[in-house]
Amino acid sequence: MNKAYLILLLSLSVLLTMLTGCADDQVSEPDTDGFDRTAMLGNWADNLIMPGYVDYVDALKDLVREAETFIADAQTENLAGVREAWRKAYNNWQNVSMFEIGKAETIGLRDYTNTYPTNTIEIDEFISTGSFNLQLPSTRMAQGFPAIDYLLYGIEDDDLSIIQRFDNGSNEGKLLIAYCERLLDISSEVLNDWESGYRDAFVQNDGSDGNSSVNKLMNDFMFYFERSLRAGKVGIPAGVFSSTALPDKVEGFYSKEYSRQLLLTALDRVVRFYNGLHHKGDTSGPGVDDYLNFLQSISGAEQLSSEINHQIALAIEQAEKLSEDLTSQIVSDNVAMLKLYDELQKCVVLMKVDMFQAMNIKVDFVDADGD
Amino acid sequence: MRSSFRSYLQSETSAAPIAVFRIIFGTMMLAGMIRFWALGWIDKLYIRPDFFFSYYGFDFIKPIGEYTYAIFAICALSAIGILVGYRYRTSATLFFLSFTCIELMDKTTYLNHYYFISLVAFLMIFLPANVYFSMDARRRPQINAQRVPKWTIDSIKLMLAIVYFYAGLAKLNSDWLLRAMPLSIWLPTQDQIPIFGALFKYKWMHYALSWGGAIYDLSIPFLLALQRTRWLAFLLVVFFHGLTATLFPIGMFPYIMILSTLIYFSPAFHEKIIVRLSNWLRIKSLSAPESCWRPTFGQTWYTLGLAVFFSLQILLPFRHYLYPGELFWNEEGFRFSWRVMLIEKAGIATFKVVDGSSGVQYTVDNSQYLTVFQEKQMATQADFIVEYAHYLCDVYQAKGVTDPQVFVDSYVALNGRKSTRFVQHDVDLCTVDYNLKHRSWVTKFNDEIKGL
Repeated sequence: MNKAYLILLLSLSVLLTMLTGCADDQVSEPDTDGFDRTAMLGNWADNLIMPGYVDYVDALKDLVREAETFIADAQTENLAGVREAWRKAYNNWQNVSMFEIGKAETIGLRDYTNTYPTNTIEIDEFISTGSFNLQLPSTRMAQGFPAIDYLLYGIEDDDLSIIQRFDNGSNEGKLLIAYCERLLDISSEVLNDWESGYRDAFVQNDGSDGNSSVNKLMNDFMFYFERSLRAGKVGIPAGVFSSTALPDKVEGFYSKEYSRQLLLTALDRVVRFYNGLHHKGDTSGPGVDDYLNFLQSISGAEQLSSEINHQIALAIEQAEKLSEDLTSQIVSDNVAMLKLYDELQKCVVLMKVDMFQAMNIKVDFVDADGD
Repeated sequence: MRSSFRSYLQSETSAAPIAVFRIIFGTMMLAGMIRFWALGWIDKLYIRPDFFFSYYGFDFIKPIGEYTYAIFAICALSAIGILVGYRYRTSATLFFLSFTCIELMDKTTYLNHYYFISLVAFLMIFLPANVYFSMDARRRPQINAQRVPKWTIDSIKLMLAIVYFYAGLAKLNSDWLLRAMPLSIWLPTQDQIPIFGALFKYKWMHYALSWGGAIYDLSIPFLLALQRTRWLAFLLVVFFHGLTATLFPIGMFPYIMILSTLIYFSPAFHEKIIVRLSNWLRIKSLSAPESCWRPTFGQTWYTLGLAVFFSLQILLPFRHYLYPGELFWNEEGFRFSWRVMLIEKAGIATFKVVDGSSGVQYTVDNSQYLTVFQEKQMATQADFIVEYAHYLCDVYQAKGVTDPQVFVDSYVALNGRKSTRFVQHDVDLCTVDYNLKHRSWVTKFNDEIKGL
């Protein structure tokens, strides 16, 4: 039995020396204040997400107004008005699209708002029959911005013919109003939810497990970046996933001049989210970059945050080289598009592999046990 | 030596510990099955996916659609059989087969603790866990016995000891001990854990837990075995598994281990549990004869079987020495070796299918074929990558690509190192065989991890 005590004492003393020994080695501790995830969530909610929704909803109110004006008096000037309002709202949509969390997730905001290419056959059917129910999940492919894009730009070959289609009382007019109001309804629902309690729930869920706000939003962000931005805006039309390029699958296909702008706005939002920048201007609060810096200062791993910023900047630089209409860019020189895809793919590797590992983010929906 | 071994085989002990172990094991397995079912994991993991990853040589074992529920039902029912000791040997055999079958259906869900359960279940088939305090003993008084050979209980203890000790050996590597990885990744975000949370931002804490964990694993079998240190050891077991249960999503495992280690306690302790249980459940106590159970088909076969079983257990974890290259990177000989919570790996694998006859390229959207969980596991493990590549080969052939070539653009980050290319991107994976040989088409790890 003496032996037993000896072994126990030995192992305990070894353990103790280890503990104290290691503690002595680490005199200079980096960043011992810790990181305030609550503040980061608050910064995102108050300075980026909610102001983004406020602007977006305002732009949609304008769109509804302009659409009504156009329907009441279908003429060139009013067509230009509703088109401009559509463009602004579409652009503002890019500011909130990635935040598919809370109410936006429950109602499937992104699918109802921006599924493209739009189903023109179904839209034509809506027009000819005059009956449609935009609440039906099956109509997701035939509503939202891409459907309005078709109505305002693609329904006829020239503006005069388009205007003629929107004569007072026409089904085209009714459908246009229905589309705009539907966009306003669902986004207002989301904004209301943020303003009436969800903001606090979001910020207070400041843990780090799979269901925490940080974990969920990072996954939502990554899903958006991979699917909607990298694949949807660039990869799919550039033919990355198919045997040939598919230039008609570009976002804003019928208007033929905004697809690059929409992409750049989306990329700007990525930069803002990542760096904790506010909705507008250069003010910044705690963001992913700070959290990464904090965690990597502890683990002693190679710092990632600036490398990710650099890679996003390279992607933006490449996007800026493209022509305003990505369809014509694909037709004339698809190599530039594919190059952009490669730059975005490098962002995905850095974020989904290195950043997720450093931040200990668990990949979505994997709630099976680990060991 | 020979005679002392023979007398060891003859030595007897109370049957109470193994009866209690049987009850614990049955209860935990039943609870595990109910939990798995209730969480909807049967559907999610075994019915919804289109494709399943197989262990080498076991590709004939796949989920069978809705009938998969039946396998889980058999598993749960046989766990009840074990728990109450009803037709025990049949129950234990059925449990082992159904449980192992479930594990073999898709290696995506591989966990060391599932492997542990399969091994214990296998062992249980041959142990006389039903001779005491069981329905069998009531039904068939001729098997009722108060005593069992000592080696029956010792074999479970040995199994547990192997798990701990090898888990400890696996921690003796430079990433774990000198870089405190992967705990340095896992702990800092866990700042909301009571008491410890606030300390997780200190690197010394990661070192303390890394070293503490290694020492714990290596010493706990001995501390449990010695009577003087047993209670201390058990407190450590509760503390250690309690901590891991709070920190990591590891399901039932910590509780299974905590309760399993009770087997190390004295017969008197287990007798008390049985008396308590009898009172609590109002079971009329059944006096068992003083006799001792003996193997029905001869001690020699038992001895030989156990020797083979445990030799395998002792040797298998070292099989990675048969492969060149870094174990943590290549994961050749990584599974079935008690390498528990040892590495943090993240990866991405983008597959490109090239039509050999036309040169047309397609980038594969993995989400079309794999679940998020499968994709995550696939991206960091080369044996998954080659299986999936072969599947893509078939899929695209069926789609009309006559001569498909499959390439992968893959990056993996290991224990906080920057991600680097994982599989050589110019290798047509359709031409690579899925076998247990060294996979030379995986890139060489560009760092060094020293250790066992």
